[in-house]
Amino acid sequence: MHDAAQINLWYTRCMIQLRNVSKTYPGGTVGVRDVHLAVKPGEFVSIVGMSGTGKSTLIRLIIAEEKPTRGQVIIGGWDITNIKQREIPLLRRQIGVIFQDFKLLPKKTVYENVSFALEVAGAPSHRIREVVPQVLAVVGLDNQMHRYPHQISGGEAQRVAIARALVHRPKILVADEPTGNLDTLNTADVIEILKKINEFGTTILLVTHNREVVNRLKRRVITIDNGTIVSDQKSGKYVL
Amino acid sequence: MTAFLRAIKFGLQNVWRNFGLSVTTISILVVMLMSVNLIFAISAMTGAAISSVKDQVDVSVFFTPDAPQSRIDEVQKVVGGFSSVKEAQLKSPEQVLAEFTTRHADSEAIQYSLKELGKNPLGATLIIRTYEPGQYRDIVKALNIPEYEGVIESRTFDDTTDIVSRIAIITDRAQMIAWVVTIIFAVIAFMIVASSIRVAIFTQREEISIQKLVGAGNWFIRAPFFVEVLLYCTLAMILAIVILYFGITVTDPYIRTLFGTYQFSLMGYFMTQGPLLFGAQFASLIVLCSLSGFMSMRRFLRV
Repeated sequence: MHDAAQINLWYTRCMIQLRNVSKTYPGGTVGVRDVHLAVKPGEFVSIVGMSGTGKSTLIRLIIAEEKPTRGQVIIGGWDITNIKQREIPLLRRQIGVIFQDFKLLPKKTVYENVSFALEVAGAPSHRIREVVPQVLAVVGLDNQMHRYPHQISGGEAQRVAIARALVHRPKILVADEPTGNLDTLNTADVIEILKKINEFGTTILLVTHNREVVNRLKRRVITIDNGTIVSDQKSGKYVL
Repeated sequence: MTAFLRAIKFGLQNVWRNFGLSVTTISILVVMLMSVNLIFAISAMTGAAISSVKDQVDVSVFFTPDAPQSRIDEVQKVVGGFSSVKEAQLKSPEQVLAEFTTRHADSEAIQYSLKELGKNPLGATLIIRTYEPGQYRDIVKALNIPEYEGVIESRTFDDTTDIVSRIAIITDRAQMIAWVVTIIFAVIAFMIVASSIRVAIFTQREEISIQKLVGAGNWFIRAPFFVEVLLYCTLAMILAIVILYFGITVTDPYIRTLFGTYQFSLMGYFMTQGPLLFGAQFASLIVLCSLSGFMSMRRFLRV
């Protein structure tokens, strides 16, 4: 198990490192091939590419949902290449993840959806009562706490997902197509929140198809094609 | 402690969300427990029946009316020397006559004959009880010697070995059938519990995937399913005991009538043996269901 001292390794130079990483699925399908990637703490990185080019594989490798066939994955100085099953929950509490389909529990309220993340991690009730309203305030949903997912808009649902990802105060927030189901206005809202979170020091990894979002951000852009990184620009644009 | 209480809460939610399946699972477990208890009831009743038959068996040695007391004492001493003899009760000629008179109080002819005789025509009687029915043969054989010919008038011996062995055969068969039924129910219960857990995992796959996503530990994800299994077992055991209690309350008077003067009560049996019997059943049930639930989780809940 990794103790507090090891967790402090988050403060090392690179927040995310992928060294010569390849992932080949059974049947020979290549997810990613020879990927070298280093993301510094506090960076806001957009990962772009066509569908099926390996963006999601990259995310799954980072959150230890999959193990690389070759190479090394290091998160905050912690080599998770061969992470033990029992250590995965600890890693996941350090990485917030949001998805295009929000992944909210329909039978739980906004408050319960967020508190759920703390409950499963064994947080005491008083801490849940303290933290949940705070993070809901950060995403501007402190007045919608008792509504159910079907009673709020898509943009608000994504903000709930962001709040849930933030309750563990993660050092990394991975956003996999977070604006894919949103209109322009809600997209702008979500991106603004991500920028705000980034300003507090959280490293953001944004996987997106949205050209406008990427171009407006003017942050680092990594382009993936056919499982390999074909472009890595410090203040880039959507080039595909 | 908080995590433990939350696991219980989620486990209760699982049971409630799949209410129909939970009821089916508990019902099967109750049926299985009832069949196990039926085995114990059959075993207790047949055991009591055999004891009752054995208790009724004795050898009566009738002495001649003029047999000297010293010879009677000698026979009693010889019989008492057998390790297989449980009890050797000597009844004096007066006692024998009194019992005979009472027994035939309605028969005027017998009463008249006794009066006409003017003296006690009956000799002393030795009533012998052994631990096992088969042991009477040795005693009868030991008394069947010329030395006692003038002293012992007759011997009666009801050979109940056959009856006892028949009861034993019937008991064995009844128990075997009950065991087969129990095993069948145990297999069904095993599959039903596995299936319930599988359905619970399936219906909560979204919640489980979110639990994993937000960093729930393996223990936390699996614990509610174990709570669910534990709840099934507890409810099934309680229901089985309640049904058994009412079942015995209704049938016990009839069973007691069957045993006549022999003291046997099924309720009494379960009252004295209950803690051990139900404790063992509950422990076995938990082992069976946990194993089933664990296998299901291992297969369908890849944490």
